[in-house]
Amino acid sequence: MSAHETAAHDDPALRVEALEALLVEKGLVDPDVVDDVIEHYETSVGPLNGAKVVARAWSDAQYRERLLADATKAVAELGFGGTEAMDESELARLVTRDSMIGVARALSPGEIADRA
Amino acid sequence: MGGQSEHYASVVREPSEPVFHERWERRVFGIAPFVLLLFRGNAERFRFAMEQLPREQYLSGYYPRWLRAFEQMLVEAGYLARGEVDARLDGHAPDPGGPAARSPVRLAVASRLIRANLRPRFPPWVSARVLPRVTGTMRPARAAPRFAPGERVRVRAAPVRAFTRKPGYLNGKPGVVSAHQGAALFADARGERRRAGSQHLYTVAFDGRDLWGDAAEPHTEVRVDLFESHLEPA
Repeated sequence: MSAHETAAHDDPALRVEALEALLVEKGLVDPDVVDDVIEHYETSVGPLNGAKVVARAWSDAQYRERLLADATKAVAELGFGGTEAMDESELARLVTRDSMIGVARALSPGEIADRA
Repeated sequence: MGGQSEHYASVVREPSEPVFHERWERRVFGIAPFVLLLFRGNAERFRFAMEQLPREQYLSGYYPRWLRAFEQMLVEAGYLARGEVDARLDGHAPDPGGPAARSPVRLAVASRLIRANLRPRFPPWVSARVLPRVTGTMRPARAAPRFAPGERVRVRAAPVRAFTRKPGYLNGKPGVVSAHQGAALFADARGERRRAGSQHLYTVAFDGRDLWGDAAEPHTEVRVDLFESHLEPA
Protein backbone atom coordinates (compact mmCIF):
# COMPACT_ATOMS: atom_id res chain seq x y z
CA MET A 1 0.00 0.00 0.00
CA SER A 2 1.34 3.44 -0.91
CA ALA A 3 1.68 6.29 1.58
CA HIS A 4 -1.01 8.09 -0.42
CA GLU A 5 -3.44 5.19 0.06
CA THR A 6 -2.71 4.92 3.78
CA ALA A 7 -3.46 8.62 4.22
CA ALA A 8 -6.77 8.20 2.37
CA HIS A 9 -7.71 5.28 4.62
CA ASP A 10 -7.19 7.37 7.73
CA ASP A 11 -8.93 10.54 6.50
CA PRO A 12 -12.31 10.43 8.25
CA ALA A 13 -13.95 12.70 5.66
CA LEU A 14 -13.08 10.32 2.82
CA ARG A 15 -13.78 7.29 4.96
CA VAL A 16 -17.32 8.28 6.00
CA GLU A 17 -18.08 9.25 2.39
CA ALA A 18 -17.03 5.78 1.22
CA LEU A 19 -18.95 4.06 4.03
CA GLU A 20 -22.13 6.05 3.40
CA ALA A 21 -21.92 5.36 -0.37
CA LEU A 22 -21.58 1.63 0.30
CA LEU A 23 -24.49 1.60 2.77
CA VAL A 24 -26.71 3.54 0.34
CA GLU A 25 -25.87 1.06 -2.45
CA LYS A 26 -26.73 -1.82 -0.14
CA GLY A 27 -30.08 -0.29 0.76
CA LEU A 28 -29.13 0.18 4.41
CA VAL A 29 -29.14 3.99 4.56
CA ASP A 30 -31.38 6.69 3.01
CA PRO A 31 -29.23 9.81 2.47
CA ASP A 32 -32.28 12.14 2.58
CA VAL A 33 -33.07 10.92 6.09
CA VAL A 34 -29.40 11.40 7.04
CA ASP A 35 -29.82 15.04 5.91
CA ASP A 36 -32.98 15.36 8.04
CA VAL A 37 -31.26 13.99 11.13
CA ILE A 38 -28.36 16.42 10.72
CA GLU A 39 -30.62 19.40 10.04
CA HIS A 40 -32.77 18.57 13.07
CA TYR A 41 -29.81 18.44 15.44
CA GLU A 42 -28.20 21.56 13.95
CA THR A 43 -31.32 23.72 14.13
CA SER A 44 -34.00 22.28 16.47
CA VAL A 45 -32.10 20.65 19.33
CA GLY A 46 -29.60 22.17 21.70
CA PRO A 47 -28.84 24.94 24.16
CA LEU A 48 -30.15 27.67 21.84
CA ASN A 49 -33.71 26.62 22.73
CA GLY A 50 -33.01 27.29 26.39
CA ALA A 51 -31.39 30.60 25.51
CA LYS A 52 -34.57 31.67 23.66
CA VAL A 53 -36.65 30.93 26.77
CA VAL A 54 -34.30 32.91 29.02
CA ALA A 55 -34.19 35.86 26.61
CA ARG A 56 -37.99 35.94 26.51
CA ALA A 57 -38.11 35.89 30.34
CA TRP A 58 -35.68 38.84 30.46
CA SER A 59 -37.74 40.94 28.10
CA ASP A 60 -41.25 39.93 29.23
CA ALA A 61 -41.96 40.15 32.96
CA GLN A 62 -45.29 38.31 32.67
CA TYR A 63 -43.63 35.46 30.78
CA ARG A 64 -41.00 35.32 33.53
CA GLU A 65 -43.80 34.86 36.11
CA ARG A 66 -45.39 32.08 34.05
CA LEU A 67 -41.99 30.42 33.58
CA LEU A 68 -41.32 30.40 37.32
CA ALA A 69 -44.83 29.14 38.10
CA ASP A 70 -44.96 26.30 35.54
CA ALA A 71 -41.89 25.95 33.36
CA THR A 72 -43.26 23.08 31.25
CA LYS A 73 -46.29 25.11 30.19
CA ALA A 74 -44.24 28.26 29.66
CA VAL A 75 -41.67 26.62 27.39
CA ALA A 76 -44.52 24.98 25.46
CA GLU A 77 -45.70 28.50 24.54
CA LEU A 78 -42.48 28.80 22.52
CA GLY A 79 -43.06 25.41 20.95
CA PHE A 80 -40.68 23.40 23.14
CA GLY A 81 -41.39 20.22 25.00
CA GLY A 82 -43.87 17.45 24.56
CA THR A 83 -47.06 16.36 26.14
CA GLU A 84 -45.86 16.16 29.74
CA ALA A 85 -48.37 17.45 32.29
CA MET A 86 -51.24 17.58 29.80
CA ASP A 87 -54.54 16.22 31.10
CA GLU A 88 -56.56 13.57 29.32
CA SER A 89 -58.87 15.94 27.49
CA GLU A 90 -55.92 17.99 26.23
CA LEU A 91 -54.22 14.78 25.07
CA ALA A 92 -57.38 13.61 23.34
CA ARG A 93 -57.44 16.82 21.31
CA LEU A 94 -54.01 16.03 19.88
CA VAL A 95 -55.35 12.95 18.18
CA THR A 96 -57.79 13.82 15.43
CA ARG A 97 -59.95 11.36 13.51
CA ASP A 98 -57.60 11.77 10.53
CA SER A 99 -54.55 10.90 12.60
CA MET A 100 -56.34 7.82 13.97
CA ILE A 101 -56.90 6.42 10.48
CA GLY A 102 -53.38 7.40 9.50
CA VAL A 103 -54.03 10.00 6.78
CA ALA A 104 -52.71 12.85 8.93
CA ARG A 105 -50.32 13.13 11.82
CA ALA A 106 -51.44 13.89 15.37
CA LEU A 107 -51.29 17.58 16.29
CA SER A 108 -48.46 18.98 18.39
CA PRO A 109 -49.21 20.65 21.76
CA GLY A 110 -48.48 24.06 20.19
CA GLU A 111 -51.05 23.45 17.49
CA ILE A 112 -53.93 22.86 19.88
CA ALA A 113 -52.89 25.96 21.83
CA ASP A 114 -53.20 27.92 18.55
CA ARG A 115 -56.72 26.59 18.00
CA ALA A 116 -57.91 27.17 21.54
CA MET B 1 -9.25 1.03 25.76
CA GLY B 2 -12.34 2.79 27.06
CA GLY B 3 -12.28 4.23 30.57
CA GLN B 4 -8.55 3.75 31.15
CA SER B 5 -7.23 6.43 33.45
CA GLU B 6 -4.10 6.98 31.32
CA HIS B 7 -6.43 8.73 28.82
CA TYR B 8 -8.06 11.03 31.38
CA ALA B 9 -7.67 14.72 30.65
CA SER B 10 -9.38 17.93 31.64
CA VAL B 11 -12.48 18.93 29.71
CA VAL B 12 -11.87 21.88 27.42
CA ARG B 13 -14.70 24.40 27.48
CA GLU B 14 -15.33 25.98 24.13
CA PRO B 15 -17.41 29.18 24.02
CA SER B 16 -20.11 29.09 21.30
CA GLU B 17 -19.27 25.49 20.57
CA PRO B 18 -20.67 24.45 17.17
CA VAL B 19 -22.90 21.35 16.92
CA PHE B 20 -20.33 19.82 14.57
CA HIS B 21 -16.73 20.95 14.09
CA GLU B 22 -16.26 19.43 10.64
CA ARG B 23 -18.68 18.78 7.80
CA TRP B 24 -17.87 15.07 7.67
CA GLU B 25 -18.76 14.68 11.38
CA ARG B 26 -22.35 15.41 10.40
CA ARG B 27 -22.45 12.40 8.08
CA VAL B 28 -21.11 10.06 10.80
CA PHE B 29 -23.80 11.37 13.16
CA GLY B 30 -26.52 11.12 10.50
CA ILE B 31 -25.88 7.48 9.57
CA ALA B 32 -25.69 6.50 13.26
CA PRO B 33 -29.45 5.89 13.71
CA PHE B 34 -29.50 3.59 10.67
CA VAL B 35 -26.52 1.58 11.90
CA LEU B 36 -27.80 1.35 15.48
CA LEU B 37 -31.25 0.24 14.28
CA LEU B 38 -29.60 -2.67 12.43
CA PHE B 39 -28.40 -3.75 15.88
CA ARG B 40 -31.79 -3.13 17.54
CA GLY B 41 -30.48 -0.04 19.27
CA ASN B 42 -27.95 -2.03 21.32
CA ALA B 43 -25.84 0.92 22.47
CA GLU B 44 -23.74 -1.36 24.69
CA ARG B 45 -22.60 -3.34 21.68
CA PHE B 46 -21.60 -0.03 20.05
CA ARG B 47 -19.68 1.01 23.19
CA PHE B 48 -17.93 -2.36 23.38
CA ALA B 49 -17.03 -2.14 19.67
CA MET B 50 -15.36 1.24 20.35
CA GLU B 51 -13.45 -0.16 23.34
CA GLN B 52 -12.08 -2.99 21.21
CA LEU B 53 -10.64 -0.74 18.48
CA PRO B 54 -6.88 -0.69 18.00
CA ARG B 55 -5.24 2.03 20.10
CA GLU B 56 -4.57 4.49 17.27
CA GLN B 57 -8.16 4.22 16.02
CA TYR B 58 -9.60 4.61 19.52
CA LEU B 59 -7.53 7.73 20.11
CA SER B 60 -8.20 9.22 16.66
CA GLY B 61 -11.12 11.35 17.91
CA TYR B 62 -14.77 11.22 18.92
CA TYR B 63 -16.48 10.78 15.54
CA PRO B 64 -13.64 8.82 13.90
CA ARG B 65 -14.10 6.37 16.79
CA TRP B 66 -17.82 6.07 15.95
CA LEU B 67 -16.97 5.54 12.31
CA ARG B 68 -14.48 2.73 12.96
CA ALA B 69 -16.84 1.06 15.44
CA PHE B 70 -19.72 1.14 12.94
CA GLU B 71 -17.49 -0.47 10.32
CA GLN B 72 -16.40 -3.15 12.75
CA MET B 73 -20.00 -3.95 13.74
CA LEU B 74 -21.21 -3.99 10.13
CA VAL B 75 -18.40 -6.37 9.15
CA GLU B 76 -19.08 -8.68 12.13
CA ALA B 77 -22.77 -8.83 11.25
CA GLY B 78 -22.06 -9.49 7.56
CA TYR B 79 -23.46 -6.23 6.17
CA LEU B 80 -20.00 -5.30 4.89
CA ALA B 81 -17.20 -7.51 3.65
CA ARG B 82 -13.90 -7.16 5.51
CA GLY B 83 -11.80 -4.49 3.79
CA GLU B 84 -14.74 -3.27 1.71
CA VAL B 85 -14.39 0.37 2.80
CA ASP B 86 -10.63 0.30 2.15
CA ALA B 87 -11.24 -1.18 -1.30
CA ARG B 88 -13.72 1.60 -2.08
CA LEU B 89 -11.19 4.21 -0.93
CA ASP B 90 -8.60 2.65 -3.22
CA GLY B 91 -11.01 3.05 -6.13
CA HIS B 92 -11.79 -0.64 -6.65
CA ALA B 93 -15.11 -1.52 -8.27
CA PRO B 94 -17.73 -3.07 -5.97
CA ASP B 95 -17.35 -6.82 -5.50
CA PRO B 96 -20.38 -8.48 -7.12
CA GLY B 97 -19.95 -11.44 -4.77
CA GLY B 98 -20.12 -9.20 -1.69
CA PRO B 99 -23.06 -8.91 0.72
CA ALA B 100 -26.31 -8.30 -1.16
CA ALA B 101 -28.55 -5.24 -0.94
CA ARG B 102 -31.37 -5.22 1.59
CA SER B 103 -35.07 -4.96 0.79
CA PRO B 104 -36.40 -1.44 0.11
CA VAL B 105 -39.31 -2.13 2.47
CA ARG B 106 -37.00 -2.58 5.45
CA LEU B 107 -35.16 0.62 4.55
CA ALA B 108 -38.47 2.50 4.29
CA VAL B 109 -39.53 1.23 7.73
CA ALA B 110 -36.18 2.24 9.25
CA SER B 111 -36.39 5.69 7.62
CA ARG B 112 -39.90 6.22 8.93
CA LEU B 113 -38.93 5.21 12.46
CA ILE B 114 -35.92 7.53 12.43
CA ARG B 115 -37.93 10.48 11.10
CA ALA B 116 -40.75 9.90 13.61
CA ASN B 117 -38.23 9.74 16.42
CA LEU B 118 -36.87 13.21 15.61
CA ARG B 119 -40.19 14.82 16.61
CA PRO B 120 -41.91 12.37 18.91
CA ARG B 121 -45.60 13.05 19.46
CA PHE B 122 -46.66 10.54 22.04
CA PRO B 123 -48.97 10.87 25.04
CA PRO B 124 -47.03 10.93 28.34
CA TRP B 125 -48.12 7.45 29.37
CA VAL B 126 -46.59 6.12 26.14
CA SER B 127 -43.37 8.07 26.77
CA ALA B 128 -43.28 7.00 30.42
CA ARG B 129 -44.38 3.37 30.24
CA VAL B 130 -44.30 2.01 26.70
CA LEU B 131 -41.22 3.53 25.03
CA PRO B 132 -38.71 2.65 27.78
CA ARG B 133 -39.66 -0.99 27.18
CA VAL B 134 -39.92 -0.87 23.40
CA THR B 135 -36.97 1.30 22.40
CA GLY B 136 -35.24 1.23 25.78
CA THR B 137 -34.05 -1.55 28.06
CA MET B 138 -36.35 -1.18 31.09
CA ARG B 139 -37.83 -4.59 31.98
CA PRO B 140 -39.45 -5.72 35.24
CA ALA B 141 -37.20 -7.98 37.34
CA ARG B 142 -38.54 -11.17 38.88
CA ALA B 143 -36.85 -10.74 42.28
CA ALA B 144 -37.62 -7.95 44.72
CA PRO B 145 -35.00 -5.17 44.94
CA ARG B 146 -32.16 -6.12 47.28
CA PHE B 147 -31.40 -2.54 48.37
CA ALA B 148 -33.57 0.35 49.49
CA PRO B 149 -32.95 4.11 49.29
CA GLY B 150 -30.84 5.26 52.25
CA GLU B 151 -29.02 1.91 52.54
CA ARG B 152 -25.22 1.82 52.66
CA VAL B 153 -23.63 -0.28 49.91
CA ARG B 154 -20.19 -1.01 48.52
CA VAL B 155 -19.23 -1.39 44.86
CA ARG B 156 -17.94 -4.89 44.20
CA ALA B 157 -14.26 -4.94 43.35
CA ALA B 158 -14.59 -8.31 41.62
CA PRO B 159 -12.91 -8.38 38.22
CA VAL B 160 -15.40 -7.89 35.42
CA ARG B 161 -15.60 -9.62 32.09
CA ALA B 162 -14.52 -7.86 28.91
CA PHE B 163 -17.26 -5.23 28.98
CA THR B 164 -18.81 -3.32 31.87
CA ARG B 165 -20.67 -0.08 32.48
CA LYS B 166 -19.31 0.02 36.04
CA PRO B 167 -16.71 2.80 36.28
CA GLY B 168 -13.40 1.37 37.48
CA TYR B 169 -12.77 4.27 39.89
CA LEU B 170 -15.70 3.02 42.00
CA ASN B 171 -14.26 -0.45 42.69
CA GLY B 172 -14.53 -1.21 46.41
CA LYS B 173 -15.90 2.26 47.26
CA PRO B 174 -18.71 2.80 49.80
CA GLY B 175 -21.83 4.75 48.89
CA VAL B 176 -25.47 5.29 49.80
CA VAL B 177 -28.41 4.27 47.62
CA SER B 178 -30.22 7.48 46.74
CA ALA B 179 -32.90 6.02 44.46
CA HIS B 180 -34.22 2.79 43.01
CA GLN B 181 -34.65 3.29 39.26
CA GLY B 182 -36.65 0.19 38.41
CA ALA B 183 -35.06 -2.66 36.51
CA ALA B 184 -33.30 -2.93 33.15
CA LEU B 185 -31.58 -5.50 30.96
CA PHE B 186 -28.06 -5.98 32.31
CA ALA B 187 -25.88 -3.72 30.14
CA ASP B 188 -22.64 -5.68 30.72
CA ALA B 189 -24.20 -8.81 29.22
CA ARG B 190 -25.81 -6.94 26.31
CA GLY B 191 -22.47 -5.42 25.32
CA GLU B 192 -20.92 -8.88 25.05
CA ARG B 193 -24.05 -10.21 23.31
CA ARG B 194 -24.65 -12.64 26.17
CA ARG B 195 -28.22 -13.34 27.27
CA ALA B 196 -29.12 -10.36 29.45
CA GLY B 197 -31.59 -10.79 32.26
CA SER B 198 -33.23 -7.85 33.98
CA GLN B 199 -31.62 -6.40 37.10
CA HIS B 200 -32.60 -3.70 39.54
CA LEU B 201 -30.90 -0.41 38.87
CA TYR B 202 -29.95 2.11 41.57
CA THR B 203 -28.58 5.59 41.78
CA VAL B 204 -25.77 5.49 44.34
CA ALA B 205 -24.24 8.60 45.94
CA PHE B 206 -20.50 8.66 46.73
CA ASP B 207 -18.63 11.15 48.89
CA GLY B 208 -15.82 12.76 46.88
CA ARG B 209 -13.36 12.07 49.74
CA ASP B 210 -14.10 8.34 49.50
CA LEU B 211 -13.22 8.42 45.81
CA TRP B 212 -10.24 10.80 45.73
CA GLY B 213 -9.20 11.33 49.34
CA ASP B 214 -7.73 14.74 50.18
CA ALA B 215 -7.49 15.59 46.48
CA ALA B 216 -11.30 15.85 46.27
CA GLU B 217 -12.92 19.26 46.07
CA PRO B 218 -14.82 19.90 49.32
CA HIS B 219 -18.52 18.92 49.38
CA THR B 220 -18.26 16.82 46.23
CA GLU B 221 -20.91 14.16 45.80
CA VAL B 222 -20.88 11.86 42.78
CA ARG B 223 -24.03 9.99 41.79
CA VAL B 224 -23.76 6.98 39.53
CA ASP B 225 -26.41 4.55 38.27
CA LEU B 226 -25.32 0.98 38.99
CA PHE B 227 -26.84 -2.44 38.49
CA GLU B 228 -27.62 -4.64 41.50
CA SER B 229 -24.84 -7.15 40.72
CA HIS B 230 -22.28 -4.31 40.92
CA LEU B 231 -23.22 -3.74 44.58
CA GLU B 232 -22.94 -5.53 47.90
CA PRO B 233 -24.15 -4.56 51.38
CA ALA B 234 -21.64 -2.31 53.17
